[in-house]
Amino acid sequence: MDSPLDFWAGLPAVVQDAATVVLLLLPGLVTGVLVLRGFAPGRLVRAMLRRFSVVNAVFVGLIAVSVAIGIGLTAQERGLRQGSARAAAAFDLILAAPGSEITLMFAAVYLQPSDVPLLTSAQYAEVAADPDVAFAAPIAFGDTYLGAPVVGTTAEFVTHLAGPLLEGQMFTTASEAVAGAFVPIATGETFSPAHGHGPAAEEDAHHGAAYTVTGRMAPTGSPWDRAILVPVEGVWEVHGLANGHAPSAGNRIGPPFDAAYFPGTPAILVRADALWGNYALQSRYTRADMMAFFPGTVLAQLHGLMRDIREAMSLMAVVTQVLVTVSILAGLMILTRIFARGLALLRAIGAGRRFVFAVVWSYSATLIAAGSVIGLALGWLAAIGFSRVITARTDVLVTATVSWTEVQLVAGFVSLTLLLALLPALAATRRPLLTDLRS
Amino acid sequence: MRQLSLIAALLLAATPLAAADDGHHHLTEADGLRVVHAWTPATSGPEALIYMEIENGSDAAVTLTGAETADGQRAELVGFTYTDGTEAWQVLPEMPLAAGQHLDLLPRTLALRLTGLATPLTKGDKIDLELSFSDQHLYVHVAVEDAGGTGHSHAGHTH
Repeated sequence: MDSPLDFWAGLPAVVQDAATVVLLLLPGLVTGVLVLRGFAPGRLVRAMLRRFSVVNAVFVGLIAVSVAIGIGLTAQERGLRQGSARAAAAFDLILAAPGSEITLMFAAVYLQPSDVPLLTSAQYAEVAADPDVAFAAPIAFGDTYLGAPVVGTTAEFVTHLAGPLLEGQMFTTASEAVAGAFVPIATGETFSPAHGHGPAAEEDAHHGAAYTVTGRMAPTGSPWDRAILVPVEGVWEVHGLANGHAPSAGNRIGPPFDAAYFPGTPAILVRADALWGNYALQSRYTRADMMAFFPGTVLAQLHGLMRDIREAMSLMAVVTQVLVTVSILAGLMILTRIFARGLALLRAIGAGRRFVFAVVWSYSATLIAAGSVIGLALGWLAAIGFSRVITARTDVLVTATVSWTEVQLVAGFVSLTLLLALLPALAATRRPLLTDLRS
Repeated sequence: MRQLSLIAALLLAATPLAAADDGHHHLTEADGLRVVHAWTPATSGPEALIYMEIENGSDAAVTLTGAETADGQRAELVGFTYTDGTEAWQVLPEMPLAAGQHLDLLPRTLALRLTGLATPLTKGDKIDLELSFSDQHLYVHVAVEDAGGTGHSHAGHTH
């Protein structure tokens, strides 16, 4: 017979998540059932809500904002983590000259400007000839056009990165280019690249050299959507270097390259067909004159470091929620004083202490439930808004959505505050009846 | 005398691949295959990821297919994946290692995954592991390091 833990582990993820929500809500729901058993205080609660609608709205707003902060933070962090991982998904294994893996990953995967040493022709030839390598694409960066990185590579890499072109045709000569999905340049336009990037870019460094855009890539959700991809031969030629092929090869582009005419490349994207292939290649090319790394591994390490920050932020969100909850409970205690005469009258005409208790608890529960649901929605909207800002600034497609994690967070908050709401209800039943009637 | 020689020969034959040990249990070597600095982080659950450096100094290709502990627990070869921001390990049925090549089993890259541990591993523990390479078997001592460790405590030492 399976243990309860084995049974739990065998359940589908969605069932586990839904069950966790129910379990988290259970204390609050059981409390509600016990408190309301035999009573129907709905009409009275509605009257209380209407009577002090402004104060009630403020309480609901406070709860909603505190919940939204927690929801927004966790949803946003997850969206950013997933978006950056998806942007790196096409980069199986990166080979480069020894140095910082992080710097190289930001340069080759996220196209952040960086000066890195080049791999030599012999190194590229060794990698390209490796029987375990399905394809090896040079990634040569350094030029820009109106802020868009101009990256030299192969047609195979373009297809690997973004699939079939959205429009137009693949480059077939060294002076043709394929634009990323969101580069503000039309198919058929011609441009001259600048050397470097940002304000220091030398606009006239490649005077006379020009590329004509022949096609456009489909969106990838990565900074490559704002890049222009050209044959690596074009990059070498505009820098006055050999173009990777012997002069007798004419205008041919793409692999195989002639090692004698291969000027070097900052990085090579490598991919193996076999399941074990990329791992074997990573070990094989991690050596004194070359480094090989999985962008996914580097990213996971970075996200691992960010996990501490995320936990600190989550803790801050929880502390905020607790502080708001304490404030609300204090407020509800004060509110019961305002309701004191009405509640005393209720008892004077025959209502029992338990009924008064149920009325006050139901009133508190309504405020908590309304604030939490609104907070969930606000948090979702805030996450969407922040995602758009981050996507616009980084070109990494971030899609933050409310998941089971956030629903569970809210369920836990609701349950806890419903239990705490017993305190003001209890306080309301302990008030001196005659004093309240005279007040 | 002849009987003693026979017993000695049988004992030698029973020793798996005449594995050499450097006395510090950091290196195991047999028939050109070298395994150095096998280690695993201390665990709190039933699963352990084991890392090591393997060199195939022989003149033939070998294939790593997995490992087994002294008490018969199987360890499978797994490769790290990072999909949609979620860390996972995929099972690799085998890992060929050509003659003269090395293979590093590293955190968040490649590992041997041992499941079903009866008790958590604590720093200072040792696991005896039998690595399966094609038709060869190599016995290694796996050092248990800190739970948050990133390498063998003697990593970087030459053996």
